[in-house]
Amino acid sequence: MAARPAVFSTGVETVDHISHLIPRLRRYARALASARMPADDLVRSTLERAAHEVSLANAAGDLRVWLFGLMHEIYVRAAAPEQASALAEALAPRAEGEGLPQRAFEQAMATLPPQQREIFLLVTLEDMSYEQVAKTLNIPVGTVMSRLSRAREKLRLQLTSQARLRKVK
Amino acid sequence: MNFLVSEAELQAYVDGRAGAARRGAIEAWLAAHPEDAQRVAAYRQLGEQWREAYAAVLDEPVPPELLDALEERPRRSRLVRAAGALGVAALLALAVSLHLAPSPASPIVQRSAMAHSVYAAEVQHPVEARAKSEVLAWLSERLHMSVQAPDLERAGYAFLGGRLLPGESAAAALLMYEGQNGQRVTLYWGPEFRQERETGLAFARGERGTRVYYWLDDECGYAIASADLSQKELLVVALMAHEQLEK
Repeated sequence: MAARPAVFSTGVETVDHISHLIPRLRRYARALASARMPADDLVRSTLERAAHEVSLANAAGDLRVWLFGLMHEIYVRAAAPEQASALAEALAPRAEGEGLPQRAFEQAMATLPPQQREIFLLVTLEDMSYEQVAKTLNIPVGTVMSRLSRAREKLRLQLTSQARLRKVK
Repeated sequence: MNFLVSEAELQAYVDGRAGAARRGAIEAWLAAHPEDAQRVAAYRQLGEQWREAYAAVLDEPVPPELLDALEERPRRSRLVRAAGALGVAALLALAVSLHLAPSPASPIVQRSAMAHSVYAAEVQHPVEARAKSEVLAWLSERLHMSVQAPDLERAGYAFLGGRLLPGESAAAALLMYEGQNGQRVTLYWGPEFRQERETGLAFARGERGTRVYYWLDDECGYAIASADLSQKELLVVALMAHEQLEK
């Protein structure tokens, strides 16, 4: 298991530690790619809540798990009604300047249920242990494993079929 | 040696998290099952592609507005925000009592969340191995008050048992309940947290993802805690316990 961060003594110090995690929150939020809640909105809401509840961060033990857990709750609330429109979202035109690979990944990601996206990205981008993912999302480790497996298989098939489509064009 | 390899083990192997003891067996399995080997390779490639695609975000300067968000001071009480998050369900909880909610982050929250995370994780000895009536009689004696175990069967949680705990400056008790899928809920009794003025149910977040609903009266502080239940599920249990323990 990854080493747990030291217990933070003051709110100021905790805020400082949180601020160092912002780039990682942004990367994760960007990859979650939700049209209903743009990445930086998701990050801002998370940070606002973290600031409000900073006194609870000390007791949380693993600051990263606590912070990504807050983001999870906000994301789920925003993403819940989104599933039906996932495909439309994937096909919607995007802002210019966005890299082509990211576009393809967003399309593939949009086909996954929100929780599978979260599990795949926490494991892949954050390199969290399965126990940390379970704590972040408040689900059993067994659920993490089975959904991780489903997420990967779906993404693999998606990217394979996307590649095939491109060849046909 | 067991050469059967589970899907979970394959996933762990993809992430470099398979235990050293099983790695040989997994590799032997992959050598004998080319489709699985192909999948594992594809999954690893997925990981690399995703990390590469989003790596640049880490180097982007953080927008000042995000740093500002972090500097914001609390504006509303925790309870009001919990109500906003929960909507109707929380309002129902608030309606349980017309009294004021306890001040945020009452010490009972930390105590009960800690007790929950230590003992609910315990598989072998989560509670004292004694009959229910005996446990309750013993705890009542030690806490100098009538300790009761509310019936939570209607919500799907069976009484497991109880144990005595050190509180901050006095003894406390922990009763444990278990759902069908092994989800655990604990009820913490802390007489030292009693308060002249009765409070309604309040929600707080304890350590390690533990959620806590608590209330205080002039005899005791009570906290329903769980790391396994959603806030809504926990609220149902808390309402049920609150109703039965209310004087």
